[in-house]
Amino acid sequence: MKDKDLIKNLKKLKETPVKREFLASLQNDLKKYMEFFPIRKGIKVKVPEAAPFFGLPIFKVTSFALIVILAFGGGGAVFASQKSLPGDILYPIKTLTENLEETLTFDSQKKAYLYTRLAEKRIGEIKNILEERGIELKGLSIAEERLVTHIISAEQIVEKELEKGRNGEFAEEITAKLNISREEAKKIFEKEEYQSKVIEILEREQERFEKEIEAIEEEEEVKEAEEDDDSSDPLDEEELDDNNDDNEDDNNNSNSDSDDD
Amino acid sequence: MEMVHQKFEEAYQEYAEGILRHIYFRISNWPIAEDLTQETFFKAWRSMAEGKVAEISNFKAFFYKIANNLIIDYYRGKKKEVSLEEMEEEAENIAVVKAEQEHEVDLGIEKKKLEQYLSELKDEYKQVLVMRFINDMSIKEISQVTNKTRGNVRILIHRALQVLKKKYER
Repeated sequence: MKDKDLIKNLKKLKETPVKREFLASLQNDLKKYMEFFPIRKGIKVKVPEAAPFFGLPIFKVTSFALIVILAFGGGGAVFASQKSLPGDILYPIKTLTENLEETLTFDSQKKAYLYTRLAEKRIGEIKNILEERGIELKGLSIAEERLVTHIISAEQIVEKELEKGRNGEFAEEITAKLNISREEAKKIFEKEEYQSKVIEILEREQERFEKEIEAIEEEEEVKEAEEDDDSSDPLDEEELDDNNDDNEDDNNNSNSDSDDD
Repeated sequence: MEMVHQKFEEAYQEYAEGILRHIYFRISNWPIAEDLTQETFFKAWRSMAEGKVAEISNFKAFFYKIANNLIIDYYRGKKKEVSLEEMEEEAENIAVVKAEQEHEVDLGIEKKKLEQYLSELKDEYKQVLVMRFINDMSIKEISQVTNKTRGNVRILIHRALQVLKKKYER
């Protein structure tokens, strides 16, 4: 046996099943154990973040992505993307450049300011979508999701900075800016007019979806009925033959069942 | 401190299965492997809670190191004189495990054979083969856990594969 084959076989042992119930119950026991023995001294836990893209750190990935964009799409694409709205073809380029800016901002306070600026940008996009396209749910949900992420990220930084004792103007300013964005978003999304329109759209979507399903089901029923019609004669004949055979067997041999076995 | 709890629980979810499988292939006994897995994580938390370790930069190496020490202790304990009662208990355990293994449809004959040969290797060889090929650990990680140089780990893996190959050719 070659080394290669032996290693291949050894790797197959990875699939050896383990008792999942045991691991789940141990997890519960562990939780209780952790509560029973709380940490007395401070401990540093440095766990490297999982690399998000084929094992490459995010910095390299975004830089690489930007180089590719600049090489193939030219700087014009990046520039043009800045005016794009969520759901547009160029919008992913816009988010990519933002992600790059985020990665390259190492100072945590500056990062928090960046998030507040991005949150304002998202509010602007939401307003533009509503003005230009009305309630376009796809684009609006993309913008809303990113907006929430920016707000949470900024809040987390403020919290960490406060823990470190770095409060002062920074925390106040960021919190005030975030509150403005949050209020603006509320004004848009919690408006009765907006909500009733969204409900209207969703109900219409639901109706359309149900009709589509009904049509598919009807089509399938017709197909099945046609198939039954086509194949009914030979099947019936076979079934009849089988029944006749069975009857004959029953007549000829009372132990036909055991013979079949 | 909540963060530490969370990170520890996440690390448990990520590595517990691998640790359990690792211990099993080192000692060939599921019930004891489960006991030692439990002990590994309890011990890991306890040493963090009591401040025996000030910083954790690699949970994987941390857990495997503890598991490894427990396996070594287990083998040391086994060498000590055992009472007749314990021997009987052990025999019963082995019978139960063997019966369980026989019923495992997922394990083919080839896999069973390999598992058997693996269990016959000396622990030093078993350790590196299981870590490298079953737990997918890098040479660097193995050298961290075993306190051996990377060169030594490579040599050990090579020797272990040769011994395992001979068992097939027997």
